[in-house]
Amino acid sequence: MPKVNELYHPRSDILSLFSHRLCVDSSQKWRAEAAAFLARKGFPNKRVEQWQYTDLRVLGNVPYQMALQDNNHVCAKKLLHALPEWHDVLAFLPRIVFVNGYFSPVLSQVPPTLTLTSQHFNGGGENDFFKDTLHIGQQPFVALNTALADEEILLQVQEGVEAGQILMVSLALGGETPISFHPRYTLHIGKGACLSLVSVNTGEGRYCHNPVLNIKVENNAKLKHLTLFQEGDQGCVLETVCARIAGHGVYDSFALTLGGRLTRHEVYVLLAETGGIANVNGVQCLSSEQIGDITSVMVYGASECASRQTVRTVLSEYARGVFQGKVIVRRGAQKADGYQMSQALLLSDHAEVNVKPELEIYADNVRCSHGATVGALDEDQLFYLRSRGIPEDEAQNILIEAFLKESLSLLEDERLRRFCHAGLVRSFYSQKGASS
Amino acid sequence: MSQLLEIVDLHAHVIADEQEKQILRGVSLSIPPGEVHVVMGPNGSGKSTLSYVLAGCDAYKITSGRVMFRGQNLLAMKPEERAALGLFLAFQNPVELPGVNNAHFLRMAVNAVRRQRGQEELDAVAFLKQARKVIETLSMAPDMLKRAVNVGFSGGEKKRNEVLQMTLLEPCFAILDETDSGLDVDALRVVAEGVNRLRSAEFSALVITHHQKLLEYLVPDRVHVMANGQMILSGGIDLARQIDQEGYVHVMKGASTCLK
Repeated sequence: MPKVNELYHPRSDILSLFSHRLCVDSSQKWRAEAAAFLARKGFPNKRVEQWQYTDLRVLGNVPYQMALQDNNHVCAKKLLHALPEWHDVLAFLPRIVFVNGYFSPVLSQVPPTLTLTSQHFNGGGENDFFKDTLHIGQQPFVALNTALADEEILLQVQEGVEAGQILMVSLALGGETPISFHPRYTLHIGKGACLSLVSVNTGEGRYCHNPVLNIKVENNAKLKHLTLFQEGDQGCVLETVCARIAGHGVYDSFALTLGGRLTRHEVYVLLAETGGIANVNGVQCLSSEQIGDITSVMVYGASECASRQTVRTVLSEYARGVFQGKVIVRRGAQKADGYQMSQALLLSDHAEVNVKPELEIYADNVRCSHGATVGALDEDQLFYLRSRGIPEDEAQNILIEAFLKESLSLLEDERLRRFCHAGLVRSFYSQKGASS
Repeated sequence: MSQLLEIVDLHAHVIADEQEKQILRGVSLSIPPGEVHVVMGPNGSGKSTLSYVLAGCDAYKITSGRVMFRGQNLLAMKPEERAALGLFLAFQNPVELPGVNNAHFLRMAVNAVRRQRGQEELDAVAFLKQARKVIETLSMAPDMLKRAVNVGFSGGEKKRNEVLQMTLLEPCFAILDETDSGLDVDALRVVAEGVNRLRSAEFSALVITHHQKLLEYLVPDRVHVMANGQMILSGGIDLARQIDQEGYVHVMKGASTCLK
């Protein structure tokens, strides 16, 4: 067993990328605490189980500068309009847009069904409902966010309101000098309310985007949450989502990771009351040396709750994919229904996928299952297509596209599915084009 | 008359459990243009392997022998090139392609061979018109075009889908690998009629079957018996009838004494 202090990068390593900005101002107690925590612990290396497969050294070795409230609307608009299906689907949705973590009123069209307020981040105590139960505050990137967050954005859908689809875009405008931004969001879906949130993250240049999203879904409320990560080649995103689901509430999430140097989507869900449902599904389609990581923890805290964690991964060249799915069924959370499935397609001998299911069950009347498949394209299917005259590379594309298309079948909304499919196909072929 | 297909002393093996398993042990067979030949033989005699090898499946390693197809070295060609040259294999177990739309697949295939044959590609409208016409003659449900390739198809539907592909791809040589197995009489007739419709001076077929029933609808020019990786006997339709009545063991016993 390694000693505890061996589990973290030497302080000079990853921490030094941010340490010049860590606050020692004791009037902002939470910042000082988080900074002290990081100074003490540093960032985990690969010996820490939760970070076993994702090496943080890809964050580079040049310190990240503070992202400024950038008023470069021209660049921001260009990025926005380059999103897949922008002119056919996304442009028609009401939207809230953030540039380098700051709310941009100019680019946004806030719908009346959504209340948006921004305030100076004050430590987030009241919204960090997870703090006591899972020590989320001790996740390195939540601590980093707590230490460096500037604005806190509160989004609220009032009780009983059907808010429809809303687009939330986060644009990163990095340059040669790497920037980092650490926005804090709190999303509150009132009793019986309903929202379909489409989060899109994209950017250019060198940056590290480190958002923390606190979600509270009240009784009988429903949040559908689609997140697209289409980060730039040198963009890193480490996102932490913490969701608390009340009685018969639903959190149905789907993450689509297309590119970016490193994308870690970390989701914690607490099914706090009877009858809650949470899904953390996703697709990762990566190439070159990209790393995609979906890590989710489902905590069943009450009876008759259900969750699905279904992840598909397609990797080419030297890409690496990670799916860590954990289910914790607490004592008394009877009739829990948990399902986990990971399917990975490896298109190169150098690609690597790491899948780790974990079940921790303390109740006795529970149904939890997990499964995983990893493989190359099916030889029989390839031969069948080729025997019909279809050339080999075309045959491969047909099978990959089919795998990807099937992975989107969990998205009910046809328009959103089309949007995701367009992103997937475009990303896949641009990767192929670049590599050949 | 020159042969459409000429197989000479073909040997092939497959690697199973890290061991070479010899399956074809010197197959020789010639099929002239316009003829339908039948290959019969007991299980494990190498019939399906022969069809896979001809279609270009690289799971089998060819150790010696040669195959000429339309005057070209078939074994040097990729599977897709063989298809473009006019060879078609109707699979014994058609492969399921989840997530691949059948109409899309068929059009990709048709246009792929048309492209390689130097013909103009079909647009979606022209293609669908043609596909619907064939579907009707095969008594297939029109919604088969909308479904994923072979996924959830019954045995009969899968075989009809093979005949549909064969008809659309306009081959000059079709291999039917037990296309009749598991079919009821009506489906059998539909499949046989599908093949008969293609019969012409420019179309040949190699039909692998266990059942004499198919041959009532699809009268062959020659019947061959394959055993232990070789063609051991050839004859007319009578040979198939004899096998049907007396069984392989009896017929083959006679053959081995003849060969000596």
